Amino acid sequence: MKVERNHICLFCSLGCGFTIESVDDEAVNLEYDTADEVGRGSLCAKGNFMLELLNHPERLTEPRNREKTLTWDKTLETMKDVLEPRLDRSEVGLIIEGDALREDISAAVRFAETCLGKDCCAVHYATGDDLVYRALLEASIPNPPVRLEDIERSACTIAVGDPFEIGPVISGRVLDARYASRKNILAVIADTSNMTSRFANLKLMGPVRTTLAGLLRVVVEETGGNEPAWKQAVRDAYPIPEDTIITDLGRKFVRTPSSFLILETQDPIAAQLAAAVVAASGSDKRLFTLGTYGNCGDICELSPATVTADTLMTRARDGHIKGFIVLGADIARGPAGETIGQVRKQTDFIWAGAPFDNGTTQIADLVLPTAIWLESEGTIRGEKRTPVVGFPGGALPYGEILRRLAHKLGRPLNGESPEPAPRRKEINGELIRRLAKEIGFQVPEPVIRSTSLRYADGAITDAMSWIRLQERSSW
Amino acid sequence: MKKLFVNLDRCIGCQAHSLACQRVRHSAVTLQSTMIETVGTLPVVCRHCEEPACVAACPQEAMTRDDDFIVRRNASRCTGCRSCVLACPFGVLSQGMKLAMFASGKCDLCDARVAEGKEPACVATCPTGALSYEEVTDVFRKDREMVLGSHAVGYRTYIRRP
Repeated sequence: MKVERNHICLFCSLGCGFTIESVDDEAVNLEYDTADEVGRGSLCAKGNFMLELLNHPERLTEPRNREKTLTWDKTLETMKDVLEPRLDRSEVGLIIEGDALREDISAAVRFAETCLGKDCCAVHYATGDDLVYRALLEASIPNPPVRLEDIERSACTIAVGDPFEIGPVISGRVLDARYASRKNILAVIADTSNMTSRFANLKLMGPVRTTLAGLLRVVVEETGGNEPAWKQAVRDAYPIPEDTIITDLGRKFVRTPSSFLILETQDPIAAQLAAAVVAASGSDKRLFTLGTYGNCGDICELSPATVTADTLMTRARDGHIKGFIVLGADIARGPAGETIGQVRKQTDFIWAGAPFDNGTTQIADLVLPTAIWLESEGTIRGEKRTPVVGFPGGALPYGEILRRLAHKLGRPLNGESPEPAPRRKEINGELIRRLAKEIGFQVPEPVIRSTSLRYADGAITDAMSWIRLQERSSW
Repeated sequence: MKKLFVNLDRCIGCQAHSLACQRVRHSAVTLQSTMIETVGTLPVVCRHCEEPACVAACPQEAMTRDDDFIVRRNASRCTGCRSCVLACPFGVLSQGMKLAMFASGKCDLCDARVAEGKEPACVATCPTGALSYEEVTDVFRKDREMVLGSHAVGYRTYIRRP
């Protein structure tokens, strides 16, 4: 029987929708969901890959140890035998990938609290998106939620970093705003030229922190003495000689109603500065954060996991942690690659759960096949989503594996949700001073390396378009 | 007559159209991106020429131009001699040869999808709206209105071509 189900892409934080058609629980077609409010039917290269991800021949379907494949009963028995003498002793680290569903992260945190001990659970984000989101949580701004369609109507958009590269689907809306009128501004603040800056009419290339600090000063000066504490703090913090282009941009940003700042960065300090710019510019300004992880923002707000994967590695090297359960995250590659190789000898076991073979499964004692988010029930973009197809073979969601293991250990997981995030603080002079202190020694003298202002290009294009159009009409 | 248009003012070179084409045509890619030196990455699309050089060059009569103005390749007739690839003045046909060794890939404007009332896959997936499937007269009218109304703020509007 043919079934069509809508789902959401988790490859970036935009969350574009699509439809998967399945016949007898096998995905046969991907169709573009034109009713989806985020993507409106379009998908980037990553999103088009979704069907292949579901039907991939290399998906892991059975648990296995180093010699042979196992059944789930046998696997859970083995895990129980190993874990039982280590319960509540904080000797086992649990690392779960950041791109898991909120329900899975919640189950992981509760499993660690119930069975493993204190500070044993880490959510692993390879790109450092969590640092940005946590920094923004600390410096949150009293803004209404962002609606993507508002970006199309923004007469002044500032893009920090390269949002077109991470979430190409947002580029349609940004370019709509950019081309709606010749007076509209798309400014890009980045270290070097990138995909987004090709379409910008104002480019501020240079140290991002410094440029944002300069912008913050201009914005605070421009908004007047509404916030005396801020104003003095910024003046003290950033003794920046005024740059004409930054000044122009800051004034335009403040004076344009409903202007947008789109933030794509992995630098928490830059994120806080950008949030401060938006907060200082007025209540109608918006900040839109674009990250590599689909639900990182949600999880950072909800997850009380306090330790990082690196901390667990250090504790393993010191001999405090004797084994690892790694779900999804490939900690054998990337920045932590050497660390997992070193601690492998000092740990008694490593169990890796993943949908595909990766560096961690290759060195693991037990390999657990897991489902991807399209095959699990969970909350994405604030909506409950049903799976588009069933699990392949014996694969299970991360949360279900931990629930079964907890049941086997005689400590079933309770149904409580993780604690809500602590109350957000407002941006104030104190935060600005701290930020200034943090970046002060790193970037002492702000320099705008190169700027280009191409307001005049429109007129040239008009003339050239007209000539070409005359030629073309003779066809 | 509808054609596939590329608006270079909006193309960010994300190559989503290539993957969409590959997915819909089961790995026989007909639409790929080409890196233009120092300019960027652009989609290279079949123009479905009025007098197609590929049709004239094909010794097996596998390439035909139908009444609906679409240049098609008959897979059962094609022997993979690559005459059409050499003949194509835009270098479009050579794109599909790497994957289908004995038959050249050919864009058919997703006629099966269009018959169902959908857009061609490359157009449907395009995140920026750079690719469009429109009536030729509509596109020219829009361009003319845009220029006359002084709304043309892009840099490369004048090279929008089928």
